[in-house]
Amino acid sequence: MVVLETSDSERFTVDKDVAERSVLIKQMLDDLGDTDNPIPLPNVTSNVLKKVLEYCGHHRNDPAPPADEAEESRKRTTDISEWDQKFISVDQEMLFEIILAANYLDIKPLLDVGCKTVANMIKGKTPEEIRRLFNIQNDFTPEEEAQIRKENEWAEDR
Amino acid sequence: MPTATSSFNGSNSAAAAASSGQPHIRATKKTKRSHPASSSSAFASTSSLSLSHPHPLNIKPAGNALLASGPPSRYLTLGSLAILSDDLITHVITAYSNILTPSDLCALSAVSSAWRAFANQEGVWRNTFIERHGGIMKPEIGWRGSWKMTCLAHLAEQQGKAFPPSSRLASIRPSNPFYSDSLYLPHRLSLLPLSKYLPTGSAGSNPSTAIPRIPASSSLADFHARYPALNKPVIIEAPEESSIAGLGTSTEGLKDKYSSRWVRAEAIRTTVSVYAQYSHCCEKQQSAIARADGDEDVARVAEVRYDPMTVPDESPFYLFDSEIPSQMAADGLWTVPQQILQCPSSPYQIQRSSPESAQRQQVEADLFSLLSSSRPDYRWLIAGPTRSGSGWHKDPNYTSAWNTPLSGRKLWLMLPPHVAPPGVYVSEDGAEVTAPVSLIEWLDDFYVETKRLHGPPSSSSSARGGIGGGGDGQLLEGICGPGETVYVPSGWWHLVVNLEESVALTQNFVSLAELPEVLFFMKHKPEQVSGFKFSKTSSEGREEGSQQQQVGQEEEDQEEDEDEVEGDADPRRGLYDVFLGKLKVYDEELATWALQKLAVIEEREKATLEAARREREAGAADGSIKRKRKTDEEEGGLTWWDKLKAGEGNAGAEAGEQDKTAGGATFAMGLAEDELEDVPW
Repeated sequence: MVVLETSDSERFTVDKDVAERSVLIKQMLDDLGDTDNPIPLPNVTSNVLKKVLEYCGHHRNDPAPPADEAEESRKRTTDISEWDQKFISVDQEMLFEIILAANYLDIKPLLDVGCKTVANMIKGKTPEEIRRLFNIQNDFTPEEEAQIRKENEWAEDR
Repeated sequence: MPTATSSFNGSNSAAAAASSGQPHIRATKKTKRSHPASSSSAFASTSSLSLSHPHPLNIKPAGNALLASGPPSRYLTLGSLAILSDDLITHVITAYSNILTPSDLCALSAVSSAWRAFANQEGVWRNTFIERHGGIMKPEIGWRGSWKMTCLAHLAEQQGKAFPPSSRLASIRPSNPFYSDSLYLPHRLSLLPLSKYLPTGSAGSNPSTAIPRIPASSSLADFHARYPALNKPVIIEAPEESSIAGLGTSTEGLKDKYSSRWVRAEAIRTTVSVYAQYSHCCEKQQSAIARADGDEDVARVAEVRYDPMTVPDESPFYLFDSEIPSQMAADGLWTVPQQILQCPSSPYQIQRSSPESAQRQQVEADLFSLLSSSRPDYRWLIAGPTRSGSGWHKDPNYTSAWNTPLSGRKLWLMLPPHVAPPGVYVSEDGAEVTAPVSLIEWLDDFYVETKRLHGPPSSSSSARGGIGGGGDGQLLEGICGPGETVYVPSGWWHLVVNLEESVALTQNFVSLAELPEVLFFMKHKPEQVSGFKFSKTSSEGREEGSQQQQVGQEEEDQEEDEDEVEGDADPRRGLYDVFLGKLKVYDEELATWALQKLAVIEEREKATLEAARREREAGAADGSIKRKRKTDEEEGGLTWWDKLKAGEGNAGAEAGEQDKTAGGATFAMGLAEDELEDVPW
């Protein structure tokens, strides 16, 4: 068992193979050897880590992702498994927190699930729809917008 | 060099061989390891640059935000996604190209000024172009002044839509700056003055670390005794102008002669004519940025398209083609330097009963010629704008090389075979070289450190400006101008960057000087041997060079010939015997001499391995660390350059697999797997 301590000082005791879904934690454990001391994760809060551990628990028996990133990206598909989709159906704030945590903890498959979800949210939308979705302020003048429409003319009538 | 891993680059595999984007890597390596708080460095060192030439989209280093007044606009113009780091945002919009299409990127670029900064990154569009179009820039479309417009023009053509030739990026410079180190980096690198990296003072003032120079009139025997026989680099100064055909040929001159020939420039394949457009554009843009007074230098080159709203490629694609040279040779435009054209046997002490002839000296200057059509590609035409070049690498198959610019100067940095350059990771068996950063980024990040470690010793008077002094003197630096020739001895590390738009010839060869090491390499590391041709049709058809090149499928197929064979079937395993057989037929005495030398090298390597093994046994704990490091390195691929030289049609992934397969086969053949892996190449 491994003890993880979040930024808000909450401790989680989990099986080693679950914790080691995180390459960061795995490398720390490899360096430290067996330890009873809690592993500090100062960039993750308890509510996010809870979620991340749920993912790691479900995927504890997954085969290791291919070491070669080029290969991996080639195999990168659009689809997200049903369980993952359900898992990642969270509000935007939690989604982004999960992406940040997956990046920090180096859990590549989870990072992929999060980023794909964001990409899918953007896909096929107009600029105005994207603004509304992510609460973005349009700081272009109407003249500038016209110029950009011209730049992107090719993509207009898809 | 760089693995095909970054989100900008991961897909270059589609663009075949050369690619895997030596120049443009960066995102994922950083994305992976960076957490949001980690990007806060650059402003002190770059503020002066940003003043002299501001980013066209008003992007500033993150540190500048500390000095800015008013609330940061990040959350307003990026919205809820602002919580992600900039690298992660770039990752989201580039790494999932099967979800986000170019149309989606266009939509993002219209959302707000901040989203425009992300979605209009030239690196993003360069990557999209390579992925969607296999890096093939069609002559009827050409270079459109920016990667975004070039990519969109190709997409439009694909869909049978009209694309106005005058299309430009919208000229919108936001009044509020956007602060981001990651978006600012390409701009900063593209502004980095190369003058910072020129060798200290004149060559004479710093003899210990300058690549030595000899006059063109040096005798064959003198040259060979002092350089190839000692495995030392040298620059041969320019001979009488008349002796180098085509001296002075610029990219424009190349275009006049070979306009519609297809060539490869790393991840890109296009015609000489289109490449010239691209190269001139980079050149014009760079000079416009470097000097406020503009573009006189390249203004004379007509029809240059460059878009002032773009950041120029910081390490432009470098034309590196092995097809054109046979045509150039047929046209009498391929001049081998006198000293290299022939190889005397005197410095190598070969016992021979027959007298030496000029013809024999010529064969012995280029022993792979004995393999005729199955020899690897060996002649390369190189062209590129200022700042293009090749990052640290060794030449394949333990060959030596010469390199003669016809126009433009090149900066050379060289390190001896056993001194790996800082910031470059070499796998334990030497098969893979990985640099996490582009050529220009390497100069920015590692040049000073390299100089400190391997620059002039402290006694040297040349320590200047805080750089230099206290090094071990292993780093050699030099500038090679038109008509001059760099001799690159086998196994030497080198980095080359164009100081001006340049056209150059280069050729790899095995002379008597390299023969023993090459034989050792072929015998004991066949899995690393590269570039040999095993398919008659592919080699001979291409050597002819008479019919016009077809892009795409045909050639890809041919290039795969070599890759499909694996393990025991790998014909590379038989190459040593084939080559040795040819040598014996050519000259039994020469072969005998070579085998004696080979035995000496084998003894030397055995001793090295023994020493390494004893060292390893001394500290068992070290072993596990070493192991782990190796696994890390296995993730890396070959450099774009290695792959290019190897003529392989696929990217890092398959090269890696191939290595593993070959390793297993080595084991099966009775060589202990770890027997060779620690050899310090």
